[in-house]
Amino acid sequence: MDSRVNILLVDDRAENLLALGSILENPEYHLVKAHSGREALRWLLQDEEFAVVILDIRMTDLDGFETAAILREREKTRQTPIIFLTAYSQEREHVLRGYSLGAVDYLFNPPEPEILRAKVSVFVELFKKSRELKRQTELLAAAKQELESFCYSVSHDLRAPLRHIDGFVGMLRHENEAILSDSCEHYLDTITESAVRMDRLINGLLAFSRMSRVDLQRRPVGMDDLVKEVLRELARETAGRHVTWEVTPLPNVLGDRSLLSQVWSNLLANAVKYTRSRDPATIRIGSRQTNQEYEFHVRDNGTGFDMRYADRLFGVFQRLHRTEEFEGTGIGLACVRRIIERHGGRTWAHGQVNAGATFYFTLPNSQSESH
Amino acid sequence: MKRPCFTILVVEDNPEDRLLIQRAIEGTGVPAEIRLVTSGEEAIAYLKGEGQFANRAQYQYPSFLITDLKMPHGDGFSLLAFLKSTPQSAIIPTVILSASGDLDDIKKAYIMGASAYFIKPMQHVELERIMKSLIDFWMLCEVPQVDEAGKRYSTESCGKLGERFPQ
Repeated sequence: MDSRVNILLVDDRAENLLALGSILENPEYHLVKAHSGREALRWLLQDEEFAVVILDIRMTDLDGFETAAILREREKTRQTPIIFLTAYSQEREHVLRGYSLGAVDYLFNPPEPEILRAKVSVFVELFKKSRELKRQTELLAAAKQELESFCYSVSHDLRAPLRHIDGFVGMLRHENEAILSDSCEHYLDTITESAVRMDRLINGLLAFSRMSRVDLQRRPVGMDDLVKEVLRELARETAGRHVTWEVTPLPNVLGDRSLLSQVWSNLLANAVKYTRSRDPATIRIGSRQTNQEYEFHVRDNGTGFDMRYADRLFGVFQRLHRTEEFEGTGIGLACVRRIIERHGGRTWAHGQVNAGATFYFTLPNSQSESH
Repeated sequence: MKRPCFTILVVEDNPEDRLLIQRAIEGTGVPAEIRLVTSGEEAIAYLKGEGQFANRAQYQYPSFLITDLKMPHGDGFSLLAFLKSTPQSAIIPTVILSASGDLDDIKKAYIMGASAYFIKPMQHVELERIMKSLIDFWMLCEVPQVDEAGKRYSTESCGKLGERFPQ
C-alpha cells in the first residue's frame, strides 16, 4: 500500500501549479495537480483521500469558492481541509467568504515557500494521525467481533460434552439401579457434579468476558433504588435466617444501570453467603463523597479473610475458601472489579479472619466526569 | 382435530444429543412415535416424502418437530425458512432445542416461525421435564387435520370468520 499522503493542487495556470509542485516536493507527498475546479472535483470524488486541498480562488469556469461549496455539500469531502490562495488586493473579502465556506486557512498568491510548506505539513500530520486512528479503530472492531464469535462457539460447542456426560451418567444409573453399589453411586454423583461445576465455570467465564465487551450505557442511576431491587432478589437466600440490613441513603451516580446492579448483586450475595454462620448477620451498606468520587462500601460480620490475600479476591477463579465451605465459581468479584474499572472507579477490600469483611468501590463523581 | 397418533420428528446432528432427546421423550411415558434425522436437508426430504421417506407407513407425517439450530447440511434456520415457505408444513409446531442462548438466535428463530425455543439444559432431568411439558401441551392443542402425506384437507371458508384471510 502506498503510504504517501495525497495533496491536491488546484490552479488554472500551469506555471502556478509547477511552482506549487516544486515548493512542496517531498518523498512523503503524492502531489496531484488539477487545472480547473472541475478536474479537482473529479479527483476528490474518487476513492483516494486527500490530506489537504490547495485551491486558487481566481479560476475561470468554476472558481475556488464555487469548488469549495460543492466539496462541502458532499459527505465524502466535507471534512477535507482547504487552503485558499488569494490575492493581496482582495484579502479581506476573500478571507471572510473563504471562512464562511469552511476554509481552514488561506495564503497569499504567490505563496511564501516556507509558510506553504509549514502549513501543509500540519495538515499532513493531522491526516496521518487520523488515518492511524481509523486503522486502529478498525482493528479493535475486528478483534471485538472475533471475541464475540469465539464466545459464541465456546458456549455452543464446549458445553455439549458436559451435557452428554450428565445425560449418559443418568442413563447408566437408571438402567443399573438395582445392581449399583454405594461406591459406584458415589462415583457417578461425582462425575455429574463435576460436569455441572465445569458448566458453571464456563458460564462464569462467558459472563465475565461479556462484561468486558458490552458497551456502557451511562445514565443517571439511583443507587438507593438499585440496592432495594437487589435486596428484594436476595430475599429468597436469606429466608429463615436472621439478617440485619443497615442501609444509609445512597447518592445518584452516572453509570450503566444493569452492570452496576450486578456489582451490588455480587457484593450483597457474598455478604449474605459469608455470614451464614452468624446469628444475627449484620450487613451495612453506606457511602461517602469526595470532590472527585463516590465511595461505596458493604460491611459484614461474617467469616472475613486474611489481609495477605486481599488482592487475590478480585482475580478470576480465585477463591479463599473450599467449595465445600462456600459454593461459588470465583468469578463474582472479578466481574465487580471489571465493571467498576470500566466506569473509571476502583475496588478494594478489608477483612480479618472471623471478624468480617468490607468491600469498597468508587465511581467518578458525575459533575467532574468528562467522558 | 386432535391427533389420533403422535409422531415427533427430531432433527439433530449430534448422535449423543439425538439419543438423549429420544430417551427424554421415551421417559415421559407418552406413546409417541419418534423419528430421528440428522440435518435440515434430511428433515425437508422427510416432510416432502422424498426417497426412503416416501413410505408413509414407516415415516408418518410428524405432529411436531424438534430441531437443533447449528447443523451441517441445512441448519435449523433453513428448516424454518422451508416450513414458512410451504403452507402445508407451516402448521407443524416447531420447537427449537439449541445450545445457543444468543439473543439474536432466539429472536430470529421466533421471527422465522418457531413455536417455542429452549436452550439445551445442562441436566438431563431438565430435558425430560421440557419434553413432558411440550408433549402434554401439543397433545392438548387443536390442530388442522392433515392426511397421511401431510396435506391439509381442503375446506370451504365461505361464511366463516376466517373468510377474509384466504389461504
